[in-house]
Amino acid sequence: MTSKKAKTAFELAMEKIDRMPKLDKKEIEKQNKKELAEKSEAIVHRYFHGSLKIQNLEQEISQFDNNEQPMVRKNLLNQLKESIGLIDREMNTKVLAAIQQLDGKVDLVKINSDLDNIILKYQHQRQKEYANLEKEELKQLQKMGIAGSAVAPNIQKSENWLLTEEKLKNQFDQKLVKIREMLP
Amino acid sequence: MKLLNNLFAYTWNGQDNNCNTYVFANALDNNRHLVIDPGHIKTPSTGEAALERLLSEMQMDGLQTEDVGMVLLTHCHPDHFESARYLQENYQALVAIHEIEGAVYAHYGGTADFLLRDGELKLGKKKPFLLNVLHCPGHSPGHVAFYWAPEKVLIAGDAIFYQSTGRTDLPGGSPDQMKQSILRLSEMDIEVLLCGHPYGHPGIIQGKKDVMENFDFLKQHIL
Repeated sequence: MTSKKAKTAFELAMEKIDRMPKLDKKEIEKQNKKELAEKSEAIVHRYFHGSLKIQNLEQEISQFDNNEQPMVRKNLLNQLKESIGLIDREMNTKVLAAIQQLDGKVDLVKINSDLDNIILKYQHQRQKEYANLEKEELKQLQKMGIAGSAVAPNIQKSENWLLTEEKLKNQFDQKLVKIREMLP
Repeated sequence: MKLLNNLFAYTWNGQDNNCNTYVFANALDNNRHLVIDPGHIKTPSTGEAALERLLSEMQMDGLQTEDVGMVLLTHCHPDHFESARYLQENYQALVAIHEIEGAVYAHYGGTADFLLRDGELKLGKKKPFLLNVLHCPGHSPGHVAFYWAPEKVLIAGDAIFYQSTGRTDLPGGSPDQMKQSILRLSEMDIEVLLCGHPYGHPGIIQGKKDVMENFDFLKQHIL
């Protein structure tokens, strides 16, 4: 009868690790990048939701290894830039303030003014298109025998509105791309 | 049940919760019917076939279900709106709800063909059928009541019940708004008050005196 020594839990775990496919250098780098992107996203999320103050952004970056910090800073700037939108001006102000905090060279006055200009034009155009469509839809409802001061068309479900809105958004998103290009 | 002229009332008498439904027969072009708050398809707890029961009661009154041409909703709660989509999809009935609740209705999967706001609603081309839409928030933010002036009928939804009011603790509800809404409605000349539920009473209060007594009760004991 042959006696076989039972393996310890540690030995079993090591055997399991040995059997796992080894990651090559490129894969490890890719994995690290992904992790840093996720961590950066979490920082931006906390900043937007008020649980991280603007003056603590640098402190968050400093908690990463020295060689990771430039990548985290770049991620944060990219994610902030992508958050610039056509609707929420308050959010845009918050985004630009954070970008300036992370890169003091930004000319916020010019960018803020250009951005405000785009948003005002977008909102003006959007309201105009909305009002035109509202008139048209009211006429359609009247033709169907639905009228009176209590009637409002349901523009949000109108296919015409969805198409108009998408066209407008695409048109003005192009202008936002230029703003993003002016940022670090 | 025929209530008066072309107005029919279908008060809920099942075990589970569901709303009362009111129908203006032949009120629309091509003699199509206008339905207010068609209620649940099936009640949530006991699975009672509420819509089937409503349609069968309407048929017993000589109202063909395929002639339902429009559904008006007093507010966006499933016990009032659930069957609207069925009537829209099967009988091409148009559906309307207050503009504040259009988005909530869409969130539940419904599509309002048009929206309502405070004012006058004219339905039909040749000889329009008129209703006043009264925005009366409190039970929900976009709750409305419908007033049929020729017969002084108020369809109050869940703003007013017999000796009670609708809940104000549901999302978007507001006791202050409910108070203002009821005070506003109490100023109206009402002969028939049609409530959204049959809580402890069928929910049909007839006669100006009884209607006023109900308002007085609400003012004294509830508001």
